[in-house]
Amino acid sequence: MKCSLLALLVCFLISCETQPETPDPNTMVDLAELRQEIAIHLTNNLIVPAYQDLSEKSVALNQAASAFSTDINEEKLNDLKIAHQAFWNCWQKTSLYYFGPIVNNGLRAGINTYPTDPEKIEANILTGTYQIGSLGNLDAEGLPALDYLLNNEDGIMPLGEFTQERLDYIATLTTAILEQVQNAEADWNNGSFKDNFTGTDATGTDVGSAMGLIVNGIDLHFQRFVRDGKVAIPAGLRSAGVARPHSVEARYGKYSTSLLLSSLNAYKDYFNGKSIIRNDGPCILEYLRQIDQPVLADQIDNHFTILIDKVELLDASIADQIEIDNEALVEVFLSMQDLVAIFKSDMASVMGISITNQDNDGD
Amino acid sequence: MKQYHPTQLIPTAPLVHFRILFGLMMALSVVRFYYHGWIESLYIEPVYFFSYFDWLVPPGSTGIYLLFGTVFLSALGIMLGLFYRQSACLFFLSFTYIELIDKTNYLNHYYFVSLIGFILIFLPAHRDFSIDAIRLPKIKRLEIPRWTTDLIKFQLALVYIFAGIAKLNPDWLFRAMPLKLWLPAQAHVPIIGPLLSYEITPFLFSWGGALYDLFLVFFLLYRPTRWLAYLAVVVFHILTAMLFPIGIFPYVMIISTLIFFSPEAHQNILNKIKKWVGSIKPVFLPPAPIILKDGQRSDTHQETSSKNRVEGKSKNYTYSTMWSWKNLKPFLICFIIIQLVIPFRYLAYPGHLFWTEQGYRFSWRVMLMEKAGYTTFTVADELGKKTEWINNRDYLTAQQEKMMSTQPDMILQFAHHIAEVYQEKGYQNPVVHCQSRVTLNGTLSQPFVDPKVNLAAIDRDWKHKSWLLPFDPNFGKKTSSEN
Repeated sequence: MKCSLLALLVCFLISCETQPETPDPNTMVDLAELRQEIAIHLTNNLIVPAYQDLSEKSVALNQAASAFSTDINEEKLNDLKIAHQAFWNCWQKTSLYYFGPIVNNGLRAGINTYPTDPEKIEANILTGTYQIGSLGNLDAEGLPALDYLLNNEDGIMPLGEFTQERLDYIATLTTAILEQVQNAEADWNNGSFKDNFTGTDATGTDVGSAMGLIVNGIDLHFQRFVRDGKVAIPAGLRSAGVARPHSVEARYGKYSTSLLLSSLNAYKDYFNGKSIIRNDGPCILEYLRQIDQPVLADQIDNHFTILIDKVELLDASIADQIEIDNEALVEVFLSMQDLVAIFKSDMASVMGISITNQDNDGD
Repeated sequence: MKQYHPTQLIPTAPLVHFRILFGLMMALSVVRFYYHGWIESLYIEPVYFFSYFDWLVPPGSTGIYLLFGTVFLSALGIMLGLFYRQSACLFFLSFTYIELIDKTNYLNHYYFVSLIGFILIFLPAHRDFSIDAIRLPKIKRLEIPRWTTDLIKFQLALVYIFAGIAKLNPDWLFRAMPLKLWLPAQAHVPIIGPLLSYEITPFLFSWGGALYDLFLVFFLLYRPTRWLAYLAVVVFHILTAMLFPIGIFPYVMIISTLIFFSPEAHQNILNKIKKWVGSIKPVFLPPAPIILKDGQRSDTHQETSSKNRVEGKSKNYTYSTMWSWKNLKPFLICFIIIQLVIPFRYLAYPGHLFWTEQGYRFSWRVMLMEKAGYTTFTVADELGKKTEWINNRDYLTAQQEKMMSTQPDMILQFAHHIAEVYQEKGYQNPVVHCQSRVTLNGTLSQPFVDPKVNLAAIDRDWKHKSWLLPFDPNFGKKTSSEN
């Protein structure tokens, strides 16, 4: 008895050293390698092009702003509004890569703090004493401030309102956006983060590994900036059912739903490894399929489709949707909750990722 | 079989070594805890704590640093044998207090440390090669009754064997869960990494681990296999340290199991250490008595052989009566029986243990399942006029949210906390419902708590939690296509 048990013990120890039976070649994928491929594809074909696109659109925004200021007419104003919306849209497709420099470089707060404060904006224009980028001024700058400046409270800003001071403020804001975007792009491209992300940190699953950052970034960003920022807070789900329609994104331009859709579509593409320059590549869903979780992979993909379908039925402005039928938003929110649950439970679990983004002992 | 004599005398050396290594390890683990910033993130940052007892107050930032300082100093006290019993007492109390502050931080090996700390209070581990023995030469003993080291061996045996028994479940043995999920995630680990993705590897690890846990202690007790078994201890625990984030636990076990080596082997080593220490600091230490082979000793006080002598019977061995076997026996037997019963308390509850976790903690279920989930709450006033979706993160850290999401007693505790908060906010008899999805060992996540139940109205007690939904191991397998 003892001998056989001893033999088993020895077998176990030896099994750690020797090669087990020949594996099925179809199921054997070097997962460490696949993780690295995902990080590289994500970096080169999704994130870098996204920043590049964002950077180009911020140049276009500046050009449109200066074209308008030298030639104030409806057409140029409309061009500026279009450039503004295009940039905002593009931001939805960049901000979701929520790890690395973007977490701390202030780009998010600098260009997209909402709701914006019209009174503060007017005061800034009047006095000319403000500091762009200071904590207290964040709600008077960036895209939401431009949204107010171009659209006014009721969607129409008469051309006569565009005084030199107002145009100067617009120019200041668009220049600040351009600078911040270019800095963030440089942060991503030139810093050591990218090299580690696609290099030494790319193969693992621990806290700080590329996969750990990706999954935690999705979990955090989706909850805070998509579910809560775009839906739960305006719909009043965090404030005892008292809706806060003024808290929607793009409040004055009234296209909050399209921004939300851009964000969700970007998420779906993120999971599928699809980008503006390549249609597919190594991605999270492929990884899930490789670790024998095809049902989960389909479930996530389908869930995004269902969610997008639900959002497409909403009014163009989430603020208006709140007035019309808030229940539709509650449904969108609950669908998002389900998705978060999938991220936190199924996805983290089967991928072996700690969802707290924090080192901890376990047993 | 020879009759067991708990009071038979053995050299003090094994216990001395255990004391020194355990104290050192604990002191280092406090440093490590501080270094990782965990004092801050686990005990200061949270605004709410899942304490085991409602009367247990979180000590605040000064208090928690004082507590950790106490653990550190008392661990050093244990190591040095300085005010040993007081140190052991303080260590046990401060360490256990910290553990009781928040269920979030429960780990089996912290429970183990608490138990060892408790046991050490009663053991004469400071009676040789300690500052106390220099301070008070009359307490010095070169021999102690064997029940002392046997109690530690018992405690270790308990950990391994119960951990082994816990592994005898279908998921572990026949689905190789959760190792099937955990091992491929470590494919990047040097040398063994590439082997971890093989289909058979998790099975080998599962079965190997179960056999190891179940039988290791017997091989450690049996002299001819002892070295091989200890080699297995080292290999096994180093392997787990490489693959899993289990902190100091592997090292605690590697040093603790040294106690299985014969007292004579320990004595030889201690003699060498004493010689070495004596050669560098001859001034501060009294001449070290050396025990020769066969229990003969060179010090002049005693001359009889240790064999077959028992506590109290040796004319020179006057063991403090307060801590004697005779006095402690009833108490220690109770301690042993309680420990044997606690891991089986789950049998008193219906349902799937891993799912309901009724009787899961304090039972040596180590690295046994992969469970993750997301549980959120809505709170409404009695009339349903106001409803709010709670953002867990307004109250909990990410780690707390994660642990709460899958552990029913924490869910209920948090639901009651929400009810209290909203009562204060002016909600009349707040009604708290919960939406939850949990995955267990790689199944698709499924609803965990009955969403129709008002958790605020459920008592927090040890009764069966009937408000949990049953676990369906095949969840989503048939209907997944229609989602």
